[in-house]
Order: sequence, then C-alpha cells, then structure tokens
Amino acid sequence: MNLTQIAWRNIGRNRRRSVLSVTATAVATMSVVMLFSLLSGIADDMASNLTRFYTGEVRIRNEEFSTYEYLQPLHLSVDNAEATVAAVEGTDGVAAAVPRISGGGAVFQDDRRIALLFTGVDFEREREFSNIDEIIAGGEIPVASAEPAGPSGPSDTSGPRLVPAVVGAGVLDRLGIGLGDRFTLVTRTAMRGSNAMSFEVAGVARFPVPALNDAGFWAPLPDVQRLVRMDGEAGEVLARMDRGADERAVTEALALSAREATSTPLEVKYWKEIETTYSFIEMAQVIYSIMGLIFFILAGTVIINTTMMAIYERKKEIGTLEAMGMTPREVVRLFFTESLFLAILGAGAGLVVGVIFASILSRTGIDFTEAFRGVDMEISPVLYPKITPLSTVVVTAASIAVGAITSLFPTTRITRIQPVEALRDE
Amino acid sequence: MNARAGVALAWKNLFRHGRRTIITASALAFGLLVYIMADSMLRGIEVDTERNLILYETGAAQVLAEGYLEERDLRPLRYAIETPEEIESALEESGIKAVARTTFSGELIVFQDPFPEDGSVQVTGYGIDPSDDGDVYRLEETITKGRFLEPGEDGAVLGGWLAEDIGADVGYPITIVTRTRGGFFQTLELDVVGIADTPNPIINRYAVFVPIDTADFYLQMEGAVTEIAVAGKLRGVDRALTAQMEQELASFPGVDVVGWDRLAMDYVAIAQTKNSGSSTILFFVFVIAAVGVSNTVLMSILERRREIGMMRAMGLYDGEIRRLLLLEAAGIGVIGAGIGIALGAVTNYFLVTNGIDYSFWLRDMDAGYRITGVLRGVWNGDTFASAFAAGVIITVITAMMPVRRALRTTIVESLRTD
Amino acid sequence: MITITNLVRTYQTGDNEVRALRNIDLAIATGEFAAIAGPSGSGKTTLLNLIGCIDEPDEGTIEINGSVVHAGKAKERALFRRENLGFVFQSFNLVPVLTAEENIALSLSLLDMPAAERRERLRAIIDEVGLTGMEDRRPARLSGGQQQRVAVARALVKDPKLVLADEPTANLDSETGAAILDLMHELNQSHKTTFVFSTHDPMVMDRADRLITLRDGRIVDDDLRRRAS
Repeated sequence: MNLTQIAWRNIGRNRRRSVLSVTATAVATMSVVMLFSLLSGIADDMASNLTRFYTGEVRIRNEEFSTYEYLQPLHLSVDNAEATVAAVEGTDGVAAAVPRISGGGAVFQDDRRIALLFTGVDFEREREFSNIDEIIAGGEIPVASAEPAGPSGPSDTSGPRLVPAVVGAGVLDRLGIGLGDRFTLVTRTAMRGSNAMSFEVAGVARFPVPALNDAGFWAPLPDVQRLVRMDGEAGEVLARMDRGADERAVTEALALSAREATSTPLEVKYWKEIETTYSFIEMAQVIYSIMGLIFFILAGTVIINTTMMAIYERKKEIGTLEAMGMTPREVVRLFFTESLFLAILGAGAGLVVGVIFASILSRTGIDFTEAFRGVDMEISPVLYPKITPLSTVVVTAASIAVGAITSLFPTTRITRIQPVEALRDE
Repeated sequence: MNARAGVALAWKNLFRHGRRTIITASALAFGLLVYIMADSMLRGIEVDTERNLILYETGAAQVLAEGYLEERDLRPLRYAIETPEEIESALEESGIKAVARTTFSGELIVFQDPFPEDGSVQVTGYGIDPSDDGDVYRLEETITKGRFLEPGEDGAVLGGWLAEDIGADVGYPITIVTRTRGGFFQTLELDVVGIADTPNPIINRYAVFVPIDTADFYLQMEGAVTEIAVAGKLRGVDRALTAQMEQELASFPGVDVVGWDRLAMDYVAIAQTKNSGSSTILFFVFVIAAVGVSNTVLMSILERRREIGMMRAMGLYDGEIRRLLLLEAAGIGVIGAGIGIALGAVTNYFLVTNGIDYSFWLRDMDAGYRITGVLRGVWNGDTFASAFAAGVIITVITAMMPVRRALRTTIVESLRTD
Repeated sequence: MITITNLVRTYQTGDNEVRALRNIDLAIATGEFAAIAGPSGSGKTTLLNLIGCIDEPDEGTIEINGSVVHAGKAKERALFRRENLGFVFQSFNLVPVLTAEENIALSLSLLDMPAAERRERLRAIIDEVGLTGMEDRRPARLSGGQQQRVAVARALVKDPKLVLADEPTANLDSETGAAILDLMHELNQSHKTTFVFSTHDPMVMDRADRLITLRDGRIVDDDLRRRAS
C-alpha cells in the first residue's frame, strides 16, 4: 500500500470537493490555453501579412528612405533594381526575392477623390514570393510582358493597351467598378511632378489586410516605373529565406550581395528589427501572461480552500497515521500527492477542452470584422487560433505547478499539529 | 434571539477562525480588485477617447447636409450646407453653441529646404473660424509653437505628429493640392503659423487647419460649409441635445443631425468588442471568486454541525439559525468586499493621478481609440458600489445551499460524536 | 518495560489551568495486560497518550525499554512509534478508502521487509483476529466489532512491543466488546505483547491482570491480580 495509491483513492472520497478543485483548475487552464492559442494565431497572422505584403523577411532600401518614409520620398530609391534582385536571389539561403515600388495616389470620380495605394511588382516573382495566386478571387494575374503598354514603345502611354492591375476587392466596391473596367490614377513622381496612368482591372484580389484590400492594387513594375519616373529603380527589394535558415547569417550574406550589385547606399534589415506593429504582439504576450497568472492565482485560492477543508475533515486520520508511526513529513506528502493529482486532473481536463475549442476555432476562425473596422493594423479580420507548445504544454505545466504549490500552504501546516491534538474529539 | 444578539454572535463567530475568514475574504477581495481595476482602465480609455473625439474631432453632434454622412470618408464637398449662418443662429438662439467647419482632403507637398526632404503626404484639411471655433473645440489651447490662425490669412496650423514627421516648423511654406467643389485642381500655398499638440492622435497625425474663409476661397465653396458642430456633454451621446437640434432645425430642408457616435463608427465598433471581451474575463473572475468563497462557507458550516445541533436542541428556531449563518456569510462578504474596495481605491488613486504610460507603442498604430499613451483610471462610484454589493451577495448566495443542508440533518445526527 | 517518573501534564483551556496528571510514578512490566481506570477527567487518556508519545509531558520522564521516548523531535518519535507501538482507538479510526486488509497492510508498509514476509504476516493476523473472508471490505461495510478487529490487527501485525488501547470497547455492545477483549488477551498471551488500556468499562476492568485507578490526575489504587506468565 503506497502513498500514490492511497492518494488516488482519497480523491474519490469527497466527490463534490474534488470536483470543485478540478473545475476551478480546469476553467483557469482552459481559458489560458485559448487565450494563448489566439495570441499565437494573431502573431502568425501578423507575421505572414507583414512578410508577404510589407517587409518580406529581409528588406533592402535606400538608407535614407526610412527617415523620410512618411513623405513618400520615391527619389530615395534603389538603383539597378534588376541586378540587385538577381544578386539577392543568388545568395545562399534566400528562397525568393522581389523588387517593389509603393506609393499613394488618387482616383477622381466626379468630384470625389479616392486615395489608393499602388505597388509596382514583378508578378512572376511575386507568385513565388508572396503566393498571390492564393488571394486572387477573379480575373487573372497579368502575364509578364517585356514591353510596357503603348504601341510605340516604353514612353508611350497613349496606346490602346491599358496597364493591367490586380485590384483589392474593397477598392472595386469603393470605385463602383468591376473586372475589365478601367480607372485612372494620379500621383506624384520621383521628380516631384505629377503624372497619371490608366489601368484596367485584370484581376481581383482579396488581400488579408483590410487596409490593402480597401485601398491597394498591384501593377506590373515596368509600368509603375514609368508612371513615377523611376526607370530601372526600385523602392525596395524584399527577400524571403529558406525554411530553417540562419537569419543573421543569411541577412548578412544577402546584404553583401546587394551592395555589390548597386551603388545606392543601402539599409538592409531583418523584419523583426523593423519597427512595426509586431511589437504589439510582444506587449500582448506580457498582458496575456499577467491575465493568465491572475486566473491561476484565483484557481489557487480555490485549491487552498479545498485542501484546508480536506485536512480539517481528516484530522483524526492524520492523528492516527502519525500514531502509527508516519512522520509528519510523510503525511504532508500524502496530502500533497492528492492535491497534485487534482491539479493534474484539472489542468488535463482544461487542456483537453481548451484544445478542442481552439482546434475548432482554428478551422472556422473568429470573425473580428465588425470589431476591427477602424483598426489599421496588419491583422486579418478573421483570426485563427493556433495551438502551440507554449499555449498547451507550458500553460498546463504552469497550471499544475500553481495548483501544487498553492496546496503546500495548508498542507505544511500539518507538521505543526501534535498527533494528540489531531486525535482529539472536538 | 433578538437581532442585536444575533449580529453580535455572528460577528464573534467570524473571528473564531480568523485565518480562514481572512483567506476567503482575500480571495473575494482579490477578485473584486481585479474587477475594479479593469473597469477603471476601460472607462478611462473610453472617457479619454470620447473627450478627445468631442473636443478635437467631431464636437458633441453635427449638422450635415443630406447625403454627406454616407460618403463622409471621402470628404466630398458637393454635399454642403448652403446657409450656415441661419442654422448657426437658430441653434445659438436656443442656447446651443455652434461653429461651422469645412473639411476637405488633400495632399500636402513639401520641398527640401527648408524641409529636410522632398515629399508629400495625405492630410485632412479643416477650414475653421478662428474667432468662434473655441466655442466647441479646444484647438487653440493646444498650440505649442507659433500662434493660432487669423481670419483670411494664407496660414496653417499643423497637427503635432504631422509637423514632426515632415520636419515642419513655424514659418515654413507648404503646398496643399486638392480639388475645388466644382472638381477642379487647386493648390493652396500656405505658411505654417502654428503647431498644435492635441491629445487626439488622429488630429496630430493628419490634420492641417486653415481659416475657413481661406478654405472657402480656394475651394470655391461660395459660403457653404461641410458641417456645423455643436458643444455638449463630454461623455456619452447626448440624445436630448440631438433631439433639441432636430426640433430647432425642422424648418431647414436638406440637413441631418447626427450624434458623434455615428461619426466615429470605428471607435464604437472596437469599444463594443473590448467591452464584451472584458465582460467575459470578469465573469470568470467572479466565478472563481464565488467558488473560493462557497468552499469556505461550506467548510465552516460542516465544522459547526454539532454546535448547530446544540443550538437547535436548545430551542432555537431553524429560521433563526439560518439567519445567523447567513449573517456570518454576509460578514465575510462585507470584510472581503471592503478590503477589495479599499485596495481598489488605493490602486485607483494611483491610476487616476499618475496613469500608465504606454505612448511608445501607440505612435504608429490606428486602432479606433483616440488615446495618446497615458492611461488614466476613472473614479466611478457605481463600480465600487456594485463591486461591494456583488461581493456580499455572492457570499450570501453561496452560503444558502450548505446552510439548507445543515438544517436538514436531524438534531440527533448532528450531535453525534464521531 | 515502561518506567514513568514524576510525570506532570497540565492543559490550558481558555483561562483555566487543568492539571491532568500530577506527579505520576508508575512501572509496567513486559507482557502485562494492564488497565488504567478512572472517572472521566481522571487523566487516563492523557496518561496513555503520553506513554504513546503522541503528547509531551510538562515534567517528568517516560522510559520505554530504556529509551526516553518524548525527548526527540517529531520525526524521531514517529519512528519510535512505527517500530515499537501499536494503537487501538475508541472510534476505530480506520482509513475509509482502504479495505480491511489494506488498512492492516498500511501499518506494515511503514517498515522495511520483503514482500513475502509481508504477505505472510497479513494472512496470519487476519486469521488470528477472525476476519478471514472480510478482508476486502471497506470499513463502511463492516460492523463496529469487525472494524475494531481490523484496528487490533493493524496494531499487532507489526509485532510491536507495546499496544495502547484507548477505551477500545466504548463503542461496542457488551457481547462484541467481550469478544474483542478476549482477542486482545489471547494475543497478549501468544505474542507476549504488553497491553495497556484506558477504560471505564467494568467488564474490561474485570479482565485486566492489573488495574491502576486514577482520580484527579493521581494514582489512587494499583491492584496486581495476576502476574504475567
């Protein structure tokens, strides 16, 4: 007859009390599991959106661009864009690289001015880099043409062929147009003059980021270069690394390659070093951990209570065991083992329920569209919780630890009771 | 047993097991403390946001031309109020302070020298009347550099973050490219006369203020304005005010009255989500606190089985005993809730006076809330009162069941010594 | 085997000081079947508790086979009890979640011995106390008498030098009580274990080989009827 078996049997002794302890721990564990799963989902979502559509995993820019980024300084560009992209692509550890030019312009309808964000992209490369096939909801991705629009060549914008664009679904709603329709964009150029270009809606995209979906469109890079007078230049070159690559090493390597390809002084940054709203994730993690701690503390008070109750009810038994020769420490160990079992049961139950809910939600997603209407972060409106080692194993371990440790408070007091007191009839 | 003796006995019984009473009371206190803190912070955010919306962006309510509200995001000039003076007078006569503004969107262009770099940025232009804008808005008070606008001048006041981002200072020339009411391109060449640091991040980031007559001239508004804003309560939507306004303006065709909430749907949306999210959390907090409390109450009643049996044998009515036990439970509730409230008050004091500074991660984020990075708590009597009441009620309710069970055992059984 | 010198034990209950034992001197030989009798409040349970080192004296010494048992720390005392003492209580005090056999085995599990020996001892004692066939029942399904048999078995299975029984028949009817007492007497004879009771049951007092009477914390009578054989 050993401690573990006795402890196990004792759990069934007062079912209501055990259920109480287990439930409290379970509820706390489940809540925290789901919270952290949601957070992981958000982090993943944000990371994906940022690296696909904003910063890539490594971003190469003219080193002065970021300082004046707010002003859209197109003239602070990266020279020899094609060579730079090729050099980066050729670096070990780089999975894909793309050149981009982004800027803001406006479409005028009657007297309405509708602000849009355009991005000149290399569509062929983008299929690999940002997996744009996945977001196309209608039409098609423009096929790369060596020659830009216009019957008489590069500088002719008057030609009958319109520049094809992949447009965000929200933009089409705002403009009240559809596939095959055209729109004209006016923008500032890198020379600080203004220019306009007409586009045809060749494809519709559902960008996961609402800001892009409602205001963005992509067009072939050569045409955009013409629009903003940046022939041969890019606003930035973005790179993605192979899975499991050493970030630091690859970043350094591609920085070297890039710098050899162009004379522009470059800023090369790994995406996590760029100040973005991703830092929000880190703060959220702290907040959630605090909330988790609060939950566990509250559950811990329940455990303290139930343990105290159990000890009180079984005082005579404690006295008897000590009379039989069990040392106080051994008795404490018995009660502690019981609390540990309850904590494990509770945490386990909470884990299972939490994982079930999180799995379901990870498939259906949680729709925050209404809530996120005014929010301008790079988060998709529908979020999918993600089950991770942190959100499951760590949380469960923490839960069990808290449960076990809080039970120590009442149980260690047993050592201070004399057997004779314990045996006394109240 | 009369009431006084009952209360006295209940009170003394509480301290028989001081440690256990304290532990239960603490669990309750902790739960309530969390509730009070969370509530205070959430209210603080709301109060802050609403204040900032009303005093710097929307006023308490606005009069808009029919059709404007739906397209408000695009700032169309075509839906404008043609006779603003009459409407303003009508409102002022009934005691409502009103000012006219013309809002437009445009592109702000800056050139290297004196600016650090060439560039352009999308801005929102606000044509305001310097002489009476202060009746509704607080812009003038927030000027930190230079001066406020003067009527008719080709000058501009910039939002503080906007100025910082483009490297503007007082005296610098800026160009705003926009379209007139008729749809023609227009350039406004202005000098920066002042920079305003407002508590509203939207204004700070995107706003350029110009005198309304200047705007009227360049935009060819011919006396029309895009909105008339009125002053009112700084918290919540003043339905009485909007009702009054609708009444006064019933005779004016083609205008709508809207409260600020319809002008800030992004805030309303996220505020609702945040509230329901935190309600869920608070619910769990309560559940767990309730469990902790009920546990202890259960225990103390079980422990006193024999004593209860004795009292009944002595002739006390069941009802009297029940009252006694519930009174004790209420006592624990009072102590716990009292501690919780006291702690809540102390922490809230710090929250209200100092607040929590988190401006660093707000700078680049638009999340619907208009807050500038110092979260201050709010004193709300209701919250404290309801927390206290909830604490006591929870304890008493959770005590009811074990009390009932204790009284259901026969006297003999409860007196048994085993 | 037990030598008690000048034993004093006083309790505080609120403002009152209760002198439970006043200067007790007592010697009990190995193999005795002794009862400590007296009205309630006379101190008999207190004396038993002190001998069993589950309580500490205020003054005086208790030696059991030469060791001063109450001098050590809680752990040392527990170990002493483990190896040398068995207890039988008035209200049986069995562990409700264990079967009869497991309750008995529990006291044995505190000692080191090979599993085979453990099993052998269990079988033997279950047989001796007459519980064969009931060993798989939990206390809830045993009568008062059966539960007390389990308690006796539990106390004796580790072959202690001394068994202390605090009013062992108080919760039993007279017939069962007599049976238990007979059982204990048999075991006292066969195992040569020293038995010390506290009791106010005349039947028990009658059966004891030696009757020590206490009143108000003092020994007022010490009657050795039969010598231990």
